[in-house]
Amino acid sequence: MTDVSEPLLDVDDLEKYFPVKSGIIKRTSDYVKAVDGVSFDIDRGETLALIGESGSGKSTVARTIIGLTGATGGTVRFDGEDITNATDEQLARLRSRVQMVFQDPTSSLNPRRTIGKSLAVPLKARGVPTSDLRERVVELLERVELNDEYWNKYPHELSGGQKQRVNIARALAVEPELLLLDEPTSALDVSVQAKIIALLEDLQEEFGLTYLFITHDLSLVRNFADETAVMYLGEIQERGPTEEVFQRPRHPYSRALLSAIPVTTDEEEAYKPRHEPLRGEIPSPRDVPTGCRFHTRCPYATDACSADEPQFVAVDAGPSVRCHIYDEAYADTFDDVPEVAVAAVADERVASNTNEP
Amino acid sequence: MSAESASVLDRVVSAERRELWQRSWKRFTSRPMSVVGLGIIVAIVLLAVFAPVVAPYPEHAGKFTDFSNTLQPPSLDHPLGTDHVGRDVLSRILFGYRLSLMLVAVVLGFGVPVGVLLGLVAGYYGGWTETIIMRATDTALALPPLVMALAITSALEPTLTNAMIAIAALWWTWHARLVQSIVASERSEEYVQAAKLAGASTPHILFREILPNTLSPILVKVTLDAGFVILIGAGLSFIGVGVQPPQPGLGTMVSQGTSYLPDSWWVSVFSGLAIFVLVMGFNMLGDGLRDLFDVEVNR
Amino acid sequence: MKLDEPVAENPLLTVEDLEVGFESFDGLAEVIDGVNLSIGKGEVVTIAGETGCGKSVTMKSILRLLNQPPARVNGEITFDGTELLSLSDREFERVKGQRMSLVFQDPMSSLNPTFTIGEQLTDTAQFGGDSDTGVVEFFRRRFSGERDEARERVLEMLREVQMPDPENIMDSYPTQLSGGMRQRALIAQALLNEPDLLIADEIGTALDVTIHDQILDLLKDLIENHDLSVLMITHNLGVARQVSDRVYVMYGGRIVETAPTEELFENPKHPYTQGLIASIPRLTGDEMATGIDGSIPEYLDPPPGCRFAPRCPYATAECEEARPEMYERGPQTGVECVLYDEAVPASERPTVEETRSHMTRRPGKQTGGD
Repeated sequence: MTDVSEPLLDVDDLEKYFPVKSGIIKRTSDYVKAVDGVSFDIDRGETLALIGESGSGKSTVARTIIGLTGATGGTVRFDGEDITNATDEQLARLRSRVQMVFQDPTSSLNPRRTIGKSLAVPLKARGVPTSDLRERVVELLERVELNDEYWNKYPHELSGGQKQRVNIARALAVEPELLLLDEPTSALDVSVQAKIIALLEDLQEEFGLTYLFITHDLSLVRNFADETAVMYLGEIQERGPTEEVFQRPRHPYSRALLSAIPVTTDEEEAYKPRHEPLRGEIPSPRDVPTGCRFHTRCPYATDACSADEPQFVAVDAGPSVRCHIYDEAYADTFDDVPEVAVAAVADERVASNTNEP
Repeated sequence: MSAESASVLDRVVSAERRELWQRSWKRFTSRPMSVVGLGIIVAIVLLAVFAPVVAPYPEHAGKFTDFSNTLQPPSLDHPLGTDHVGRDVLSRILFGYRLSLMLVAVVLGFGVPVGVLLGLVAGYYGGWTETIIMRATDTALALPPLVMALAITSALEPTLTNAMIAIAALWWTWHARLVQSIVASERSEEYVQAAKLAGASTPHILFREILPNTLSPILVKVTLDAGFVILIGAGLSFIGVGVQPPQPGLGTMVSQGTSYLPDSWWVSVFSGLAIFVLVMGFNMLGDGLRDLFDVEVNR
Repeated sequence: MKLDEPVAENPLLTVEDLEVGFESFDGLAEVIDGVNLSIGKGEVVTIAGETGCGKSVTMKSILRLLNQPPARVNGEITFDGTELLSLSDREFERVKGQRMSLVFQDPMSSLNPTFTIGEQLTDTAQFGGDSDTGVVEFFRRRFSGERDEARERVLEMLREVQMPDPENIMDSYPTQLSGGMRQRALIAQALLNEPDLLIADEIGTALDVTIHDQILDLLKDLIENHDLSVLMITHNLGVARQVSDRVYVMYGGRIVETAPTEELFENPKHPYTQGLIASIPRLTGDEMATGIDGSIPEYLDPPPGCRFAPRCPYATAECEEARPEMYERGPQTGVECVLYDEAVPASERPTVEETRSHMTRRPGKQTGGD
């Protein structure tokens, strides 16, 4: 094992471009920049939430980390080892330490195979003898609060929540350290979603798991993640401790996301940032806007935003934000800024609070 | 878990599984057409298998002549009449079914596994592998089996064996296409990726994960194919390049009977009807299975 | 069984004693079991519930979208004084086409990919609610100045739903539009016949949060400007709270609780409503319940009494025997739970907090179903 202070997963400037082919001879005419320079790291036992809407590239990040698709640029380090575009031998080792849970509980289980058979796959691959398989599968089922009755059931006999439990059990079979959770609850009803989240929390505590939690639903993240990163069109726009991102969302996009959530109580309503509906549609990742990628929809955007690309910099030593509003050099160009921007400068207390210990 | 509880569990589970089968059977039987189709196929297969026992004149299947008894109309002795050399038409039809079903078994027994394997490989790997296999398939698809069989049998020798080889040599293409198209969409399914992440080997993913999901369409296609193969076989026999006399090919019998139309209609008409019933049976069964699996898949 | 449930004053649509069963190989599945609801003129009403609660089936029976058989629909559906279930298909089509509109959940599958938005919407504007236009009449209208007038109306409507660049959109095919734009086109289409009742099925659910937000804002404006009565179907309680005047909470094919929106969210009464609200993650980071144990009822063999009883932390033998009455019935309220019988002291009625604590898992507890 390596140094404890080193992050378990370290993603640096990750890029994934998908070629767009056109014409009869399939020449590459263009690129979809699904992930364009994404950096983050996760410490052992921590949870990072990666938030974004469709087309933000959040799922591609996970798929690139685990080697389901190759990276175009940048590096991914897992426990100190460079696993960018890993070799088959590296992948084989990696996959007993990193696993993934997919979004759709139904399509991630083979409809023609029993739960027992599906769960036996990772065990067999790890060399568990056939005589022990059943016992081990039942152990796994119990770990996700199902029982041995499920051994011989087919996926269509299970509810969505039960299927997702089976998927989690399969990911746990190899006793991984890092779990990539790709929208694990977005296909489920709230009362079931709550149970899956509770299960994930328990498992994290019990096995010291590290999570990369990908979701479009901000409200899920509040209690679940230590750090939150907000993605838009292939770039991380804001990243910081979850508390900070929720209480003082700085990037206009984070603010808009938070304010757009339909909530159920007045306290939450009061908690949300000022409602600033976004203009227009999410641009296609094939054709990203110049300058700040968000400027076409940003309520604060000025000419500078469409011209210069903002840097991803730490604000007040707290969260990092990719926005000119927080850049001294552009301070004069905005006549309206979010309150946090004003407060951040004025209030020393905020800055000292956001300093990580 | 104790051994006892495991066996109790197995009983519960097998009861449930039985129930599942019962439900499928119930759904299948709710369509009269498919039940009739199945009934026809089962009856014909049994008759063909036990032809030596059930046929009234088993010796009439081969080289047999009884010139005192030629072209007799249907009677109690010969329910479907006799042919131009005095052989019992019913007996010859029953033995003719043996040849037809054998043709089906050989053609599909070779064509389907080969086609499925090529389709699996092409669909799963994609890229150059797919291009090579699928272009070969397309080329083979461009040759009509009947013409190919004609060419081969006239180049070599007009026998049933050669006809079988000719048809089988082309039949895999359909299955390769079918399976490739299914696999190409299945391989991006999350369950395949999950199996990959779980460390499953490629053969495991191909044969244990993906193949079972292609079986229903393959089964439907095989059933419908059987009808086609029989028709092609009968067509070849009719024009004289398939089953050779005195062997009782159904197509051969239709062809021989045409010389005695319309007076002695029973030879051609009954052997023609025999082909019709068998092909119809396979088609009805195939349609029934297709409906059954469609429901299954959409559940 | 006739249940007296609250009826809005001056209702536009009332559904009384609706029962819908589906014939299947395993018998009759009683999916909707005595649903009563009403929508007042100008009222925005939501049916909220989770997957499989019967909300879509209710909506489809109102609009006659269920195939009969296998479905069997019984009850009374009255729209502005007309009993709908007894109408012939043709008469019903007329009422539906001229006075009701439906916005579907999936904007792609409800637009025809082979016609431009302009063609489809102009057709709706010209022929909507008039399913038996004769051939001659069709060509007369199609190729006369009326077509241009209809086109103008469509353009105006597209502007009203804040469609970006409406002139261009008219000549675009549905696949060329983004999800949000398609949803706008559908809303515009629904409003073209100036309906009295708008039925919105999970509107915008498939869209991204920020786009969904825009659509809801738009919908609120349109409801006001067009004085629409709306029946919304949603699984998202937050959406129900944001848009509607009154909410029906559905569970297991029955309405378990109804109240004006504010009241329902401030003081939810039915244990299911409470559990549902407690399971929603909070932006403020307050503790949330860990979900409701058990699964939705098996409609082929539903629980004999209260259908929520098997999952309810407060269930008694009484609950398992007979269906509870609608208690605390007011003009706009009601809760189908024995805890709200007048004989039960108020102190025994659970608060959301209590239900939350009942539904917050203690470690190590075995839970099979979701």
